[in-house]
Amino acid sequence: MTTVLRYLLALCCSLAIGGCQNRTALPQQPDTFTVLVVNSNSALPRYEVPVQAFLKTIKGAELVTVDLGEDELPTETLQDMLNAHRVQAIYCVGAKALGSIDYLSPATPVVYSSVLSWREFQSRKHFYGVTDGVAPAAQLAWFKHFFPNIQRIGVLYSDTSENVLKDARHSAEALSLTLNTRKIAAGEARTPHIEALLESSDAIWILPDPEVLDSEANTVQLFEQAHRRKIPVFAYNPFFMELGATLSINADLATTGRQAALMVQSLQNAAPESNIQFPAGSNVSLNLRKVREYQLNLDSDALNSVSELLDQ
Amino acid sequence: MSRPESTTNSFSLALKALLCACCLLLCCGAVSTQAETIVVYHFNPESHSDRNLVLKNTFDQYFQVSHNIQLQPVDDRATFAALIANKPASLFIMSDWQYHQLESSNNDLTPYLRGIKDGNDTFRKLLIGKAPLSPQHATLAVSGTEDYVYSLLGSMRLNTAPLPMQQLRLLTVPKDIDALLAVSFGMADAALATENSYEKYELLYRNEYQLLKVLGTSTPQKRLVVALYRQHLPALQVALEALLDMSQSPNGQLGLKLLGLDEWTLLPTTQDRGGQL
Repeated sequence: MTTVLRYLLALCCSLAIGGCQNRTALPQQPDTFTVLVVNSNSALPRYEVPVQAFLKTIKGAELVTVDLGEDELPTETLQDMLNAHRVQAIYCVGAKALGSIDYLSPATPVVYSSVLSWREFQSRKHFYGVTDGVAPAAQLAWFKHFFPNIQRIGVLYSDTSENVLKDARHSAEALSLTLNTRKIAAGEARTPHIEALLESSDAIWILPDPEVLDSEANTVQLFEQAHRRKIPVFAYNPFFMELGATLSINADLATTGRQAALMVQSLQNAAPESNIQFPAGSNVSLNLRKVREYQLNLDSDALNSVSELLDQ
Repeated sequence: MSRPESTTNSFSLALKALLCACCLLLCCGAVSTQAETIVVYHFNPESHSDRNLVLKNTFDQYFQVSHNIQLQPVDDRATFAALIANKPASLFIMSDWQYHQLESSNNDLTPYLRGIKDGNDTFRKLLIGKAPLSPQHATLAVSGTEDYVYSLLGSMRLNTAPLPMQQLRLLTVPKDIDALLAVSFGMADAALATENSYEKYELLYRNEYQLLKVLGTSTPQKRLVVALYRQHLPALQVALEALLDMSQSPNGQLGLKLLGLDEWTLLPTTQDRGGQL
């Protein structure tokens, strides 16, 4: 009898412990999937455009939004928001939003976009993002689409952009393009490097390299040297159109917001396949004056991809 | 003495009256000139609307040479449908699909011009991916509006099993080439793109092109159409002629290329309906 009682007691205990274990192992089953949307500054289109696109795209989620534009204590604000809501995912737009969330390091998955320094966050656990610039391979493909006769592309680079260039070389090969490259060191005279590139290239491609584009004067100098030889400059931001770039390929901000929405939605089922995505959409700016002035062979079929045209 | 004074006064009054009449006529003329500005509305659900500004600037530059015509791109279908429902004396550039969506509720809306590219007035859309789409979930990169995309997919001839329509997630991108690149770089499982874009991709990125397969083909889609309300035809002749003449000038050709066209052609049915162009 005692033995039977002991067995029964042991069984009850094990059932009770098992029950406890099951309860702790069960994930929380909230009624709704709540997403905290953190905007670095809603007054800036760079942040507001992807946020609006995100809000239009995301389906089946409860959204809590916060604008850190005027906020001098963003981490406190965000901690309050996290305490007040049962958040299952966080979308951060811009470095202020992502930096503040990173400081709090919540266990919640984080999706981000419009962050220049995205590389700092790419190895964080539960962090998923859309990079800031169009993939080098996609940029090269667009160059070739507009100017099929351009084969040799010159690039001035430094240690900072060495990795980008390594990837770009493989992509260029796949696109049957040749990259002519010259590496510069900090403080080194660049005129001879630029001249050498212009001598051997059909176009110059500028990368977001702070050592190459270290000052306005040096950037203007590069454009002027290229202009004197009637060699087009291809850029990664429409800002360079004012300096005389012929073509610029930059990320379509609304598309990055839509990509972020799909990444957040996929978090409801499983982790996204990749931590990092390149922007899937591009904005193309073209300077037709330069095309005519340099007598470039433009594929007119590519014109239906142009978002901004300089023709005056 | 009083009589000449009175004659002078009368003359002066008559002069003033004449002057006023002239001013009035001038003012009315100015008002009527403003009123005569013809607006050409544009909405195309087959492509993304991030190009409205470049379209407007280019078309207005072409029109302003000798016409009082303006292009007004429209962002969304509801606004475009509301504009059409008001039956204004305007031209409407739209996709053929959009025209058929609207024609049943706007009986007098008549297509007059059709866009032509490479001598064709039709194109096909292809569904392109690296492998058949997963029945669990699939992301489709598209450059058109959601309603247009689902309508197109619904009538597509597929080379694979039926599409998991409920599980599809659409990623809207600005252009067909973006959609194809999204598949190559793993942001999407498949893309919807025109045959022409797919052919361009072969020339552009042969290695990636070779990894892609055509998963489905749409029925031939008619290219852009220019429609109007027949009762406004006399007032809109000048604008229709300006559109037809676009292929004759560099500015006009640029506008056409931005729309992905080489020229406009007068629809044969237009002549049967009393078109006098």
